[in-house]
Amino acid sequence: MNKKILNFIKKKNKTKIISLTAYSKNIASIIDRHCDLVLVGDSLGSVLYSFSSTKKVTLDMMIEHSKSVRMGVKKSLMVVDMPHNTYRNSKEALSNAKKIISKTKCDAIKLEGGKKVIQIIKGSRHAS
Amino acid sequence: MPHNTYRNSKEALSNAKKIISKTKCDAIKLEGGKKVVQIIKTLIKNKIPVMGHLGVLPQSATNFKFKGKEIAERKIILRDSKLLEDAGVFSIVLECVESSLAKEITKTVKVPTIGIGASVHCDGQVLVTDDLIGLNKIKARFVKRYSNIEKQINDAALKFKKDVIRSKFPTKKHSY
Repeated sequence: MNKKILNFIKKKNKTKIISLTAYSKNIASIIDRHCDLVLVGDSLGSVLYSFSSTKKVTLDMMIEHSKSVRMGVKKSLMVVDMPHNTYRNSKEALSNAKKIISKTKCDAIKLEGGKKVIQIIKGSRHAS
Repeated sequence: MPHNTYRNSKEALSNAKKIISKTKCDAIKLEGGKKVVQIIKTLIKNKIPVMGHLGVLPQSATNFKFKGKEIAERKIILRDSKLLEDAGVFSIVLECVESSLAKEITKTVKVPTIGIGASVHCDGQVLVTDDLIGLNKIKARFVKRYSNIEKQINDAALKFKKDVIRSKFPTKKHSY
């Protein structure tokens, strides 16, 4: 596992963990100083595009914003949300997660759900 | 319109239409003088409002020195401003143009000139908002920083961090 992620896990029960979202470089570079984790949230759909839900957020939107955020994040763990309808099965999830990681150089991806997405998460971990 | 999206009239029209239909913007802006006059005419004939851009042209520039020091260069930019006006642009951005030349262009053309590094003589001014508010660290002569948002964001993030570490955030008020 990525060293940054191991260090992140080690903080449990030792120190509080600081996380904030960023959608672009200039803000990311400021919050990076104080954060352990910077999340490129699909909340950008409502925050930046006035979408009524995050369901309209596309993979390309996440990737383009994440590329900008990557320029600003030096020390924090950078996590990118997988948007709606990009991880409906293991194959789709793996292909899209690989695309996000290779294009944005983020450290990890985040996705929503419990039992429904267990197999998808296992596939993704296996691939790393 | 970004670099290499308006190399000929056909390409320009297709891309300009795409920008307008997808973004619902009011107008597009493209860089250049004589070279892009035909393209501008095509766009305007198709009811796409165009803003011109003369002086330093970042999409093709090899350096970012201000324009209008040499007489030959001044003549070209002045001529281009008239060509753009005749082509039907509704306004022209003048980027890093020597003061007296910006003044002459502004007097000559009937459409408004908008300056960035082009003196007080333009009809209006434009700055990159991130530069204006101190979010982008740029040291160009034409930038004046009107605020230090970087510091305010930094302070907010730092306060948040301190509160989280001391378990002062979130309180009941911010919890379910």
